Amino acid sequence: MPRFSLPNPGLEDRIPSYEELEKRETEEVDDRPKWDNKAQYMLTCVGFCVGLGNVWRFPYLCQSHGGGAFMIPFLILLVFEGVPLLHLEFAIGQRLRKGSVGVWSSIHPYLKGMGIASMLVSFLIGLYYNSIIALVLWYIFNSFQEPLPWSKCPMTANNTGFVDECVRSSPVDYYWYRETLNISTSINDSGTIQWWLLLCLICAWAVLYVCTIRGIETTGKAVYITSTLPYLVLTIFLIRGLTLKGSVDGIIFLFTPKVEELTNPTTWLDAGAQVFYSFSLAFGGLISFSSYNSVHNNCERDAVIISVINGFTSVYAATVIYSIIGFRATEQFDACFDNNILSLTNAFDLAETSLTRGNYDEVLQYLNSTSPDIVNKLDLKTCDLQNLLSQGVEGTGLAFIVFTEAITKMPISPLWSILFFVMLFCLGLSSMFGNIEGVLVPVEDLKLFPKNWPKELITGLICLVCFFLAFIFVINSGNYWLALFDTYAGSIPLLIIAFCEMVAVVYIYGIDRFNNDIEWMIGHKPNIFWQATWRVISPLIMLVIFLFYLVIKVSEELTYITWDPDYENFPNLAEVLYPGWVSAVIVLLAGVPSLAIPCTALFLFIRNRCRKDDERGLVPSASVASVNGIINNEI
Amino acid sequence: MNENIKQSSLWIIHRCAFPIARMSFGILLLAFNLFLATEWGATAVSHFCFKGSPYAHKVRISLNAALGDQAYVWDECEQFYFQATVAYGMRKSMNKPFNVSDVHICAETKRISFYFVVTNSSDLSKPLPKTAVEEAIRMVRPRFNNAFSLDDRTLEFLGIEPTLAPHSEPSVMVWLIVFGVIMGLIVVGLIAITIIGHRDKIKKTRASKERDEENEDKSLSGIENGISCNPLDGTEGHKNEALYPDDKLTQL
Repeated sequence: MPRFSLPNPGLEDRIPSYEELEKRETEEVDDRPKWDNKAQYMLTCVGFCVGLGNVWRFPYLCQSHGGGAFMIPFLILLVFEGVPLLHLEFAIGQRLRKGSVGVWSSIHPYLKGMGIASMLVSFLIGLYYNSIIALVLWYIFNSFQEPLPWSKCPMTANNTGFVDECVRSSPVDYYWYRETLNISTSINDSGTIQWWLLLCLICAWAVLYVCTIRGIETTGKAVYITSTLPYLVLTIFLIRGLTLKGSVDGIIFLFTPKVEELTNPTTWLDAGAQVFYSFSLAFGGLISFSSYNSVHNNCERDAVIISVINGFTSVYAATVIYSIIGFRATEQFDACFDNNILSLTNAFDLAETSLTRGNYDEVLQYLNSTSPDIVNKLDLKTCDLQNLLSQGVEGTGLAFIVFTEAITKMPISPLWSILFFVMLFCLGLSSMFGNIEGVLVPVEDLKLFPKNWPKELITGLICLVCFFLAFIFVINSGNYWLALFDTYAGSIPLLIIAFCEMVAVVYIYGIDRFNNDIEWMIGHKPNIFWQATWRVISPLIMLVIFLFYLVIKVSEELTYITWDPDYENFPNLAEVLYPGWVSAVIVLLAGVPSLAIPCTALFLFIRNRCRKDDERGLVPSASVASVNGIINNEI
Repeated sequence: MNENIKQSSLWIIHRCAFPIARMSFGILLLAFNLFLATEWGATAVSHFCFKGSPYAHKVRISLNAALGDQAYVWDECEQFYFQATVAYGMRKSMNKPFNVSDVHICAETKRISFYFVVTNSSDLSKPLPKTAVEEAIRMVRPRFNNAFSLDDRTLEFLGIEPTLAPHSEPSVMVWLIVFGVIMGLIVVGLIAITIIGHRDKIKKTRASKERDEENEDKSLSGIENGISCNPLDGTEGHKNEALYPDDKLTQL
């Protein structure tokens, strides 16, 4: 295995030595914030990792890539990609005791760009993530009424009938696209700010500010609720879901393995991407959180525990979601079937109870043979349960359309609606804590604000700036911008940063030094598994995923889906090409963080060269205290 | 004697047989007339009560859907009840004395669906136009539904759409109330955190100031030229061995 490491002069001066760290630990002179107890740290990391993606991306991937068979690539990549990267970030943060900018600058000054890239990515993702939380808040506010506002269509102005757009689609669709988003037909059509969404956005940023106002002092208390409540709600929903008709069909459908999907490379690519994004790696937040730990904390065990919890949560959430989806599909199937039965009964004036589901097929055949023209005029729909179950939806569509529809069919729907959306709120908020940490600490390290400004003020300023920038997500075309950010702001830059992280730690910091650090911190050297994954396997996997992603993204047409009532296949979403200027936005979103790494390195290199040319006479040296020429370190 | 019998028989025939014959003939004629009349009445109704008639409304009743196990059987009595209710509706809407016999039902099926026509009470041959019947049904629709323990969906009059109940818009949007409550909690939380933080900071600065003062006192009390020396008050003196020779030590 390659054991070389790039030359790195002056590394010793930049990083705290073991003695220094021990002293800091025992004397507690450090004014760096600290976790109150281990539970806070674990809950914060779990909350950061477990987010909305576990609930609405993993179930969709699982179901569309072969059900139970998807677990195999997911678990394999979890072990070979997720856990090593997680351990690496925890260990380096705990050792160097700085945020992302500080850690990478310590390893080598030219690597400051990695920290800046992490900060930019955390910033961009935090922007749109909190807008999704604002939408969740809107649904929470509207859940306190019976019947739920998305359970039936509103009436036209003169009470003659129902609104046409709603009748053609469905009440839940109408509520989401028209009454919540008031969406325009294309991203060009910006429209105006929707005041009700603005209020929700204010609420979302205010809650976030209150929880992060004093860093981990306040978030550490908040995570007791935001990290544990989702599990409680998932359990309640599981119990409720299992008592509903058709839920077991949904779960069976989800986990039925289709082994032939394993030969499809897209399955492995999606599994790798899901593991990577689900662990919130390369955001810089995990490095920060780990740096507040005691220096002898067992980061190896933490990494394994958090990975296991994350994987388990994904599977658990998928089970719950699909039990409810199974219930919804069964309801739709029953309704479709009953509709057909009713049409036939009415058309042929048969006795009410004569046509049942049992004899439906024979009777239909008989009627078709005797009077086919009447049967054809009825326009009977084919009802297929498997087809209904396989209508997989992910993302906001799953939460705000499919799940809300299922909830309206459950008794005491406002309760379930409130529970579900509070769970989504907690999941999103705990992830936002990590995002804000990933923005705040680099801002402090880069000394962008004067030192005497209190932390509360800086946090408030950052939240305020993000709030104003997030206005773009509450205009009529806001949801299209959200989808744009979701697809391009996080994907490519994170992969690049993660790859650079591994290379930096293994080859620039030096794997030997890293091994010694871990031995000093936790008591034993990392075993062969860690060595193999850090040096070869994980960087290789990252590189492969990155290249594939790049190829796919670059070669595919830039399209997006829109809600257009004039579309011929309405209520299906229309796929439309992005206008030209969107390509520039995409390049900005994905390019600026990625290019921050080489550009900063180049900038610092040029600056160093200029400085060296100017100050050739001066030799930098540290002043040393001495008494009568005798250097006495004890003074 | 023969003439007497002939005369008396003629008298009997004149007096008895003829009237009897006339009566029976009259009865026969009446019966025939009545028969013709009902036959003609029935055909008259069947002229305008049939599937697709411009005067007939189709009614469809779904007893199982509405009542499930407790569905009653649709028999002649229920049909009579239906006719009576229609007649009641017509009376209410047109203020004319309609009777049960003015409502004619035909084309019944096992679905429990049938057509009905309403005729004018005075003239059997004149069925009322559809619009008049529609108006009457619409007027008493809720009473109609209640009479049969059904609702708009399970007692259908094809062609007479049920008027939709207007949605009751809440006077204050509920979500604004919830939003206000949560924002209030946030503001309270913010103020609380600020106050607690301020108090903690004051406590910390006070504690550290006291500690600084203590340190200063300790250090100031014995520094001369940067060399700290312990004042003799608090310490025990050392015995200078040289001044008090110990025989044990210096034995020549």
